[in-house]
Amino acid sequence: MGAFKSVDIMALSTVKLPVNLSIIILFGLILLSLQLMSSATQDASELNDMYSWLLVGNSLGSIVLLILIIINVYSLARELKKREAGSKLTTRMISLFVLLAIAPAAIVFYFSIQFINQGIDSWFNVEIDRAMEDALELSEESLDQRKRLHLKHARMLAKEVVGKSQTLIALEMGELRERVEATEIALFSRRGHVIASNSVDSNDILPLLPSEHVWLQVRQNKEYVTFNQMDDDSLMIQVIVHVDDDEPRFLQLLFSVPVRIADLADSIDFAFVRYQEMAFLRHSLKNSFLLLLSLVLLLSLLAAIWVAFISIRHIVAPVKELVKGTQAVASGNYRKQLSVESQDDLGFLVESFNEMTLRIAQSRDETKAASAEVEQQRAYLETVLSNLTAGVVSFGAEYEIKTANQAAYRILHIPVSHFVGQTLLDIIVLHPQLTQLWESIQGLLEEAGDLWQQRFAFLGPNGRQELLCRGTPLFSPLGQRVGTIVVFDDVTDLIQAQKNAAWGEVAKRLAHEIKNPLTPIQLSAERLQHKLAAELSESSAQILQRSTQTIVNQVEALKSMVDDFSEYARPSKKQVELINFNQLINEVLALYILQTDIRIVTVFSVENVVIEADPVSIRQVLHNLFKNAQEAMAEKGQIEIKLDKVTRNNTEYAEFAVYDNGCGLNKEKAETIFEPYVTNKPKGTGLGLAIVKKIIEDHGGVIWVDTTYNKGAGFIIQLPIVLI
Amino acid sequence: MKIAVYLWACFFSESLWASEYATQVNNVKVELVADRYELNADLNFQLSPVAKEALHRGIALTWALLVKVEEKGELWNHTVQSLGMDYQIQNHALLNLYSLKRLSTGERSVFSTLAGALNSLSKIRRIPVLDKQLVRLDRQYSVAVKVKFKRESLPIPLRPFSYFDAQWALSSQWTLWPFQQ
Repeated sequence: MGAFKSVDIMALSTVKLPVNLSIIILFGLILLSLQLMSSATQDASELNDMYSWLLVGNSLGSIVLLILIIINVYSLARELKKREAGSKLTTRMISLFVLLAIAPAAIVFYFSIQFINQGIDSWFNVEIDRAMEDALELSEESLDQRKRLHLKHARMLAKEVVGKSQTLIALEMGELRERVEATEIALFSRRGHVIASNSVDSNDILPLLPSEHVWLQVRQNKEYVTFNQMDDDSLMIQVIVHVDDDEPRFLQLLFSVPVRIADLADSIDFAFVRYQEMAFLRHSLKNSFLLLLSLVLLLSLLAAIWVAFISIRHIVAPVKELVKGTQAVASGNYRKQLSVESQDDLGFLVESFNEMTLRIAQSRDETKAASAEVEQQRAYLETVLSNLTAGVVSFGAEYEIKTANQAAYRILHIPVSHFVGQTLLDIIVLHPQLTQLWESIQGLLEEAGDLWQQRFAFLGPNGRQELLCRGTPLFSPLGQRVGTIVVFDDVTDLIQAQKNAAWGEVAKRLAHEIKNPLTPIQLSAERLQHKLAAELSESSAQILQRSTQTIVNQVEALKSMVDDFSEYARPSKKQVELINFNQLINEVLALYILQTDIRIVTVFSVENVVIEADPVSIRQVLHNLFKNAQEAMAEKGQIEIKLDKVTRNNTEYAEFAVYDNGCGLNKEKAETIFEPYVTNKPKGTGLGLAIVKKIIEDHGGVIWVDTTYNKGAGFIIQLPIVLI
Repeated sequence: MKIAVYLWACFFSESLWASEYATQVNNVKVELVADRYELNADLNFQLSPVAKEALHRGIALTWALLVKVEEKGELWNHTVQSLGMDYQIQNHALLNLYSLKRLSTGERSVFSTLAGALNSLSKIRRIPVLDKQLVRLDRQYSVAVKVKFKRESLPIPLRPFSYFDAQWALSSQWTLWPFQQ
């Protein structure tokens, strides 16, 4: 775990460093640029010439940052539109940051501009204006006085040199200069050539030569006086006057302004010029400060917003991953693990998420395994239940059906499992034929508090059925009754077999006990007739004849009845062989077709149905059924014979049906028609259908009365098919 | 990209500010004097009211005289010589003088009127531009002259805004003149 964490920390440093470095470099560049611009505003700075370029550079930097921010905003807008994870949080954080950054910046900006404007305006007022102008005027007046004085001196000297020869003048030049305290004196010809000169500095051989422009003014005005800034920055007053002579000449005098006065004048001049310049630049200065402050603020804000985008995206990244992870978990991916990129609170959150998903996955696996085991057990139980021959239906506390196995359907012929969640009374609506059964069971469910067992008889689609039901209440571990389980067996065959066995035994005994004395009785009666007929009178003989005949007839009837009993008691499945059922039916029918006016209709849906049976017994079955039908219609009507193939419990059966339109069977009769000594005919023994049922059941088939047929009587037989 | 170039041109191309105050370059002549070619030209300065006010308020105005001697080529001209001279006019309120200074040499003249100073500046005389040895007789040459007002010499508060003010568009266009060999 420790090694894992150290690897994470390394990964963290490799991820974080470039971002932090780029931010530091960016801010460094911005600060450097702003510092350069600030330095450039100083007049003495070497960067002064670069001011405009720095301005342009910073503006371009702002544009670049603005473009970066626009790209980020566009990207964020797209993420918001796609509803990407973390986009709303990023938007909220950035909006908050921008608001928090802009609000104080705007306030500072506003008040700074106010202070700058007021500050600049405070530099200028009427008093200072007047003072500056007065100072300048004072200086001008002072200097003008000097100019006028020196002009006066020059005029005076010019008068003195009038008419003097050049040589004389040259000799007097020094004395003239000293008299007026001039620095330099020079006499120029009309063409501007130096005639004579004298300077306080003996090294100055050549006097100051007036420019063409000066000569132009001298020639126009006759005199010229001006201040002259010398190469050594000393201030001189240059005076040129016309010497009114035959040959016009010009006298130039240079007077030095005292250093103190020159310095004062220079100082006033500098201050005045500076003040004037500032007054001129007043609005430009305000605009310049506004521009500079705006640029600094804009650049700082844009850089801060851009860095906010980077930083917030960096901060939101783990949250984004967490949201994606949560979505993955919500969609069922419990094995989702996120990479831990920081060791801060968010890193801790990611680690907790990973641990949570790990535990959820483990719990899910355990639940799955448990569920699979439960499902396996349930499937096993269902298999056991479905393979039970007994029907099993479980009921809930509100008597609603919880489960029902396959045998329930097989016995009741109703898909009970389809009614899960409903009560038995709900089934009555759809299956009213079992109303009595359902009501009885429902009553027991509601009333019986303990185990119960009861037999129910009902008329099913295959005839009369008898069920043996056992109910067992179910209790929760807390002893609360939670339902009932009902197990029922179809005991119809069992009871029938018991009955058949009993009747067989009776028949066997009757045949044995009754048939033996019948022959001696018959022989004795015949012997009495034979011996006594001749000895008796005619009338007595006739009486004897009738009596003996009655005895013989009754004995014959008894013999026939006993034979029937023997037949019933005898095993019917004697010699089993493969027989064509269609052919056998047709053979038997051939004996009945021409006998009466009864119309026989055959509907064979399948041909060449082969069954494995004793042909003699099956012939007897067919004879009994046809004969019964024939007798039921009093020699007029229609018998319909059907042969079809049905599949029951994965076994194919030949379904043979006989329908007549005779007197039919009532409901009670239909329930007991196959029992011995139950007959619908006045002369019947009641063994015909009992024998038929016995033969059919001995061959693995079933026979029942088709209770749905109401035009007469209908019997349906199903026998297993061997091949078709 | 085109927009950026257009904006750049808007901000910095003086041709867009070709105003009534632009300096005109006239009568440019290059003459062979001894072993070198010398340039003479007449310039016509027309200061805008704002420029005049700035000058009177003590702000120095600086122009650069730019001269290029180009040798005519088949596809494009080849610059043989390129030189520039800066001139500065400044007003001294106390002395009521205008000084004209050639910044490269420090040579200074003082004038009592602005017209005198501008008149002096407008007459460009005997500026050596090229040695005779550098000129080939079988080639054709021309001389390009431009007077550029140097906004960057203005006080800092004025500089950025001068680029957007026609009153400060005092420069001339490049003018091309024949070079008489």
